[in-house]
Amino acid sequence: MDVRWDAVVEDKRFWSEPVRAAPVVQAGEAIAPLRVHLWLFGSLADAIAERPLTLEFQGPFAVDDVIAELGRRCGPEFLSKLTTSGGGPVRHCRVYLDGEEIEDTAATARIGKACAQMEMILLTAAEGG
Amino acid sequence: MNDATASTQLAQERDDAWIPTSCALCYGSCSILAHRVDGVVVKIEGNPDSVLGKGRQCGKGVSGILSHYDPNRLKVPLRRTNPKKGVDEDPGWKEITWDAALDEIAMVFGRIRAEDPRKLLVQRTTTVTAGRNPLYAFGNAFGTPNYSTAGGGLHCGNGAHLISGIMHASWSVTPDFEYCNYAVYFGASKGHGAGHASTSNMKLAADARARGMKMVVVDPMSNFASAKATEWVPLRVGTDGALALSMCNVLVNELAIYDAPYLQAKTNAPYLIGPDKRYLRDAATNKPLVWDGAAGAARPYSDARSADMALEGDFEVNGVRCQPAFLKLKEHLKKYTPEWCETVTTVPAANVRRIAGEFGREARVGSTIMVDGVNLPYRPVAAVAFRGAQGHMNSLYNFYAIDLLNELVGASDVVGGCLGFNPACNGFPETGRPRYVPKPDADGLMITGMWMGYHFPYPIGEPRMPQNAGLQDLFTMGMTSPFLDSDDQEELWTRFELPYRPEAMLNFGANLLMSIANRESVARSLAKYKFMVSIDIFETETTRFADIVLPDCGYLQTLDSRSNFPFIFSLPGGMGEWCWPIRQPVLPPEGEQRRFQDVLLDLADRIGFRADMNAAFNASLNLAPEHRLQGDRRYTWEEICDAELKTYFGEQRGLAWFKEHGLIKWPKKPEEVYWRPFVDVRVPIYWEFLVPLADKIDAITAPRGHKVPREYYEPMPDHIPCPSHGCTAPGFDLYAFYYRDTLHTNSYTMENPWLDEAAQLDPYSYTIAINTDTGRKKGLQDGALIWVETETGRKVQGRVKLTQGIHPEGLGIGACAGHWGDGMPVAKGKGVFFNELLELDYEHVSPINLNLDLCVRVKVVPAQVRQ
Repeated sequence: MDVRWDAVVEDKRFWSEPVRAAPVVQAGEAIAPLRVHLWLFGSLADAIAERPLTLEFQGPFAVDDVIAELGRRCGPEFLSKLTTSGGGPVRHCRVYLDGEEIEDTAATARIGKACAQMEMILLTAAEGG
Repeated sequence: MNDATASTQLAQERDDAWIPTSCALCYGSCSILAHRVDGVVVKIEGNPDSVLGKGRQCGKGVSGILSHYDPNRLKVPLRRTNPKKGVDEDPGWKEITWDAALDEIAMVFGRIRAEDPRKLLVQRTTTVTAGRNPLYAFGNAFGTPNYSTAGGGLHCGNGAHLISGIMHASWSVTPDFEYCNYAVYFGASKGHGAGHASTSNMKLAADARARGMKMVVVDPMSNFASAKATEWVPLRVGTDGALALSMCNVLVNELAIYDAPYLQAKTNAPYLIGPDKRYLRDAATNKPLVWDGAAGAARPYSDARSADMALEGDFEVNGVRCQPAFLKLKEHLKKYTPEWCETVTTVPAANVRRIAGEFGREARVGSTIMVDGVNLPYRPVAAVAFRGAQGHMNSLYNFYAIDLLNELVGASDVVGGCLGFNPACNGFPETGRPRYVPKPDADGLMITGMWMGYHFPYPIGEPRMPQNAGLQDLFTMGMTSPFLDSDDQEELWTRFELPYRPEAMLNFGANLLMSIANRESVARSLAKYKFMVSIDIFETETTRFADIVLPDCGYLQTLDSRSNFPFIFSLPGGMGEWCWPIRQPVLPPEGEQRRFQDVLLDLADRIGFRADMNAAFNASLNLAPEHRLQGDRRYTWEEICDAELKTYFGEQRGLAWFKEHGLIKWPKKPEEVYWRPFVDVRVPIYWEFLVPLADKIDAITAPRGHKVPREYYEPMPDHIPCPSHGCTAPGFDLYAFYYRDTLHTNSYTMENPWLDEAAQLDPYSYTIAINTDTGRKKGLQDGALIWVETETGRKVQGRVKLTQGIHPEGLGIGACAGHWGDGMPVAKGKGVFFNELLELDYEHVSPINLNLDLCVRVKVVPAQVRQ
């Protein structure tokens, strides 16, 4: 009896990611500049005087681009709160684009209109540093 | 009107209802039915429709009525008039209105938030699991990184939950009772009336034993688990990891029993390790390399077939000598011979070999089984651990070593093996929510899909100059921190340049004065807070340090859309059903009691951060886009609960639906329960990441005069003795420890008259257990009054219970008893306050996971000798 452990299971598709429909782009909307209304909450909120902060991008952008822009505007101290030394957001940062959570912050944001709502908040808790 | 008509009318008018809700006498949160007659709850039973408890109740749950109707419950807001704070200080309470209380809190908290929100500490009890989300939402919206779960978290979590997360993607582990044939418990009580999924597991464990599952319990004391075990293995306190290491050695080096295909496919065992203890990495992709036997070359792990990955052998890659991690581990284990183990643990070498052999052979490495039409790996053995192995400075290696037993034989999240509590869920069929599953990081190692905290246990966080008062962002393997209360906190804060000091505490139900360590140390830290608010149901010893006390509703008066944390905390593992119960009010508030959730929302409004609070709820509850809380709209707690329930279960199943039905459930699938074969992730049997972690921490601490003790950061587990093992003072010949009494929960339930009575009838609950032979040698008799003293002069008094069911060197004390405050008069003076013996400083804290050492070397002295 020497069944290969990794060969026992045949169907590996059970956990494949569900397909998400791409946002519908209204005619005339998907044109540059793309505007993002950025809402910073909790410990991030005091970095900016206005809420939301409006950012404009001339073409497709990723969350990482938004964070980089925030760094330029708010300075390195703010950026150190939000990002690791590798440049990506800290693991307890939650980002939502039009209500959908964004996990891959390097991926191009999928927006269906010229003005998107982006929210960021740091979630901390006793469990974990 | 005749008598019959009157009786019928009376019956029609009477309030007589069975209301489905959730218990909160411990964090198990079992589903219950509360029988209310004419506005009075007359009985509480388990809800047979629910998976949480399956219709069963433990003694704590049944007696909840008395906790609710306790005349000592807080009913009005109180304001301190005595500015001095101390264990013996009378707060000088005066009653105040809710408006006055909330206005003052809002003023102080508002000032702090404007100055520096980090100065607020949010503290909660672990007893009420549902408290975490509203409190953390408040803290996250407020902007503080400082949270604590008091002793309930500090004493149970830093080893147990961290390793369960890294190795099993869950908060805790359990044997797969339905299929397991051989379970080894290391200081754990899974299925014996306490802990996660306690009452569900009671039946599962009992059925497994009746079916023939052998249960070997490794524990200094034969109590709740050992009493039902096939075999009790007494060992010296704090040496669980040494026994596990020796068993691993027997398996690998003496018996050659291990699951090579599992190690190749699902762990980092094939990853090549260089002389610097680090992975060899591919220059182009930076991925760890393995030796591909088919190619005769080193390749990134993702490019080779797992069956071709070498587990043993010496190789040279780009001029660097290297070996697979498995060979490193195999060589490392050789020193842990059963003979060595006997000297450390006192477990006879022959028993170590026998138990390891039984475990290895029962694992049936290579076998498969069909479950619901799916062919799966079958490894019917499990090694589990919890509070016993956890309560030591060496807890991280204890748990690492114990879990290696599962990993070596492939008994990890497969049929019959060691299961995480539901690490993968494909969601409710109609909505696909909540959906979570582990995923790999760039090194192929597992990241949990769901976690109780927002910082996952792996990848390990990047150390930085601390911003958290608990220093967990510097010591990033730490979870709950002792430094929020320790004697040397100021020295540590100064040394590591914490840029602020905590000023205010919002405490929800935690009695940290009793639950963490000796009361003098904790009292000193509490007295430093300039402002403390306590939301509680009783005036506890800790509440007496508060400036303002707010009377909370109890569990029969409140509402929670999630009465527990879904699903990695207290839903039983194994096949069966998913189940999401709610907690709903059975009774109205009494006096001026208010639900803490409403109070937090009110405070957010008064301080002016409702938009942040809404955003925090959106994120922490992961609300669907169509149910997200908008802007700064003032949602009620009912509306927030409704939004969460509709997010997960659809528009038609909001709060109203759940109030009627109490819960929802649906069948689990084999691919969810036994997810590991279906998901391409690996777990680390070699913790390579500890090496650079130590370097990074050291780079911060060494310039500030603090060297990281590298022996705690080695990539393979070792036996590191606790300070108690090094005590050589004459007469200090016993290892004192406490155990969790199944009659009680933390320090809370001693106030319950039924439980107190049961505990008084129990020969152990309120006494000090010492081995009969040891006690007689000391001239002790049952019932004798003794002092238990530590080397530093800390001492507690209690009555002896002599028993053969404890290791000859052990001294066991039940629960977290010994209340001294007047606010809980039933509890006052009952039992022994073990924590008084504990030191609370860096020297007694693990320098890697911040675990407080909970064992202490003591001597016993007859009390009358000192009088």
